[in-house]
Amino acid sequence: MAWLGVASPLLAQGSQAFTLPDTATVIGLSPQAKHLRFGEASPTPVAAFEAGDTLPCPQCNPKKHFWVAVAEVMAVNIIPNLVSRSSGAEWAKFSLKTWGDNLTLPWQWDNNAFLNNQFSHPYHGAMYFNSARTNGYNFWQSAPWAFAGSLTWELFGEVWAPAPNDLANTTLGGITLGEMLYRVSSLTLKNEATGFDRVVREVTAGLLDPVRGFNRVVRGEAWKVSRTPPEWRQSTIFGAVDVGYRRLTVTGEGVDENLDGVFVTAEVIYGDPLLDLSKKPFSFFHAEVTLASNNEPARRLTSLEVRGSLAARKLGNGGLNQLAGFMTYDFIANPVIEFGGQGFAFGPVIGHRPSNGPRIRAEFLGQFMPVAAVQSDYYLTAEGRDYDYGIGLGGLANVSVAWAGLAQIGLYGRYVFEPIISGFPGNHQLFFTGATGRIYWKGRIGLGADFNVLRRWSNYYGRAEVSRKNNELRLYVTTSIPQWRD
Amino acid sequence: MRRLRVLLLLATAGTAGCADSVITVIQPENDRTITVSGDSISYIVTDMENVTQTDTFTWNNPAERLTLLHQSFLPHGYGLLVIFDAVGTVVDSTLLEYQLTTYSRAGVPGTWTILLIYSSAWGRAQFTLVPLVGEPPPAEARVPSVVEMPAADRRPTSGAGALAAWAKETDEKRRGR
Repeated sequence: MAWLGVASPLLAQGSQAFTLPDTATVIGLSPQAKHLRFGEASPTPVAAFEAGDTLPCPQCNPKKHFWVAVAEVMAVNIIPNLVSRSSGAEWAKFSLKTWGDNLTLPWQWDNNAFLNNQFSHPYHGAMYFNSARTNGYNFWQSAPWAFAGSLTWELFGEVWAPAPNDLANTTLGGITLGEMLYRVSSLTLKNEATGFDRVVREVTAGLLDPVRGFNRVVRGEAWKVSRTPPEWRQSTIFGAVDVGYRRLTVTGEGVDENLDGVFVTAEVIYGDPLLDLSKKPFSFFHAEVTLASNNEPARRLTSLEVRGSLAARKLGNGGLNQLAGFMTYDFIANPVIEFGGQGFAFGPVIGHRPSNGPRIRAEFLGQFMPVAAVQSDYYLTAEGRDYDYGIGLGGLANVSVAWAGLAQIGLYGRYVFEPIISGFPGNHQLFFTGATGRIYWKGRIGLGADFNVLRRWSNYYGRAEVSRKNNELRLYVTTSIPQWRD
Repeated sequence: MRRLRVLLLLATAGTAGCADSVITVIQPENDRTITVSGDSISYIVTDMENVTQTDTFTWNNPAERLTLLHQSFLPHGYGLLVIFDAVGTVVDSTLLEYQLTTYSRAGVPGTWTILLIYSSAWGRAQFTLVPLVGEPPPAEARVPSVVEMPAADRRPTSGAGALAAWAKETDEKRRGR
């Protein structure tokens, strides 16, 4: 599960030096930045770019383009509207009257399918966010743009009644996904690059962050040689791909079945999960996406989880212990638990990194999601909505121990309580527990095994309580990027 | 002063909403039309503005199921469609949807009753019912899972709680008749 990934062996190296392989250039690190030392203060990014010091760096302090950002937010709304309108969609044919109706009539929770509301809307929000982020605004300054973009879409971009769930999903999910995509696209960019290497980098960045790609082409930044802003790099970056076998065992009233299949998980850990928490928002983030074969086709995207740091304050004198805040994005879709939420997590993060021996990291976070979606047993619409909406309250605990370059084990638990606001009256309780272990050999290649238990208890007014349990076993080969060396 | 003007504008826009709170029923200008074409039947009501009422009609279905072709467009409020077979059993209960095809559960052929429940509905209610012989196409397996829920567990879908209670009460009255 996502919460365990932040303590991979690579990140447990403490002060041991490691060398990035050639693949480092793929993720945007310059050759000068290949020899990094983890566990110390981040290397001065400027020093890593000495070779480019003589070049100008117009993007180091980017100028704010307010009206361009406004135009892009409008374009992000108008383009999908025009496409829908050209195909005859009535809901896209807005007028002054429909604007008036949307401004004056009550808002309504909508009945879109899970993927649409929990993934597509947040991705749309990421584009609003990046309309500002890639026009010179920082994280905090860009956040309101996601809200404004979503609000204008709800009120003026479609004829349907504005939906409170859409506004929340798009705004909060858009900020989290938007900043994550912005930073990952920054990793791929290298302003000093030329030729085919430059083309590949620009195209990749544009796919990850289309608004940014558009801006770079329009401004000529996509081909201009200049210095890469140090902010676009991070002291530590870790990527991993797990491929393997997955067995889901589903149990509950009248249900007992096994589902076997294969899965692929891609994971990015950006920044140091302890040292970077107190830096700028999302100086540390963890993103993990899983595609699996044994879900129904609409749920091949089994999970997408992102958690980025917002701020942190040290606990006590020195040490690594901190009180930290995060923004979270959850999308989990499997036969037992369909869960989506965007919100915040807050609590102590504890780390212990001795010069020799295993490194320990633990966190105990409370979580608040203004709007969360949980699979429903009774709320089912022809349009495809099969989940209830409510406020998500809960917490998570995560403990991991890692031996540098050798192995990692971890335990986690998570609880979510959702009183239902829209859907079938009642409440849901989710309980996630799990254990993971990985052993590495030959540097970047390792083997891993996870065992997760997902439980859902759903209580409904006037209807039977529903309990479902899902055991998940994963056995996989894992490969890490960059390669770890002793 | 400028800020005050903006506030006044917003306040005016806000109070304008109160003007739309008048509950209405279907009027002649809404062109309520029911058309029988062979074994099929079509229903349309246009330009509803804040309609809250029930509407009902009957239809002779020679088959055990029906195909429901949704063509409604209700941007605000809700329209709920409840279908009873010849012996009064609910075979479908669904929101009026925009461009969607769904299928009913199996029922007893004969005179079926169509009940519509509008709650603050704005827009157009429109659908066509077509007799369906045999099983629904497998490709639509997800939609039947909605309508094949046991009757005791089925509920009117979204909308206010009062709407749900009303539909249940109506159902019970009809069964007791």
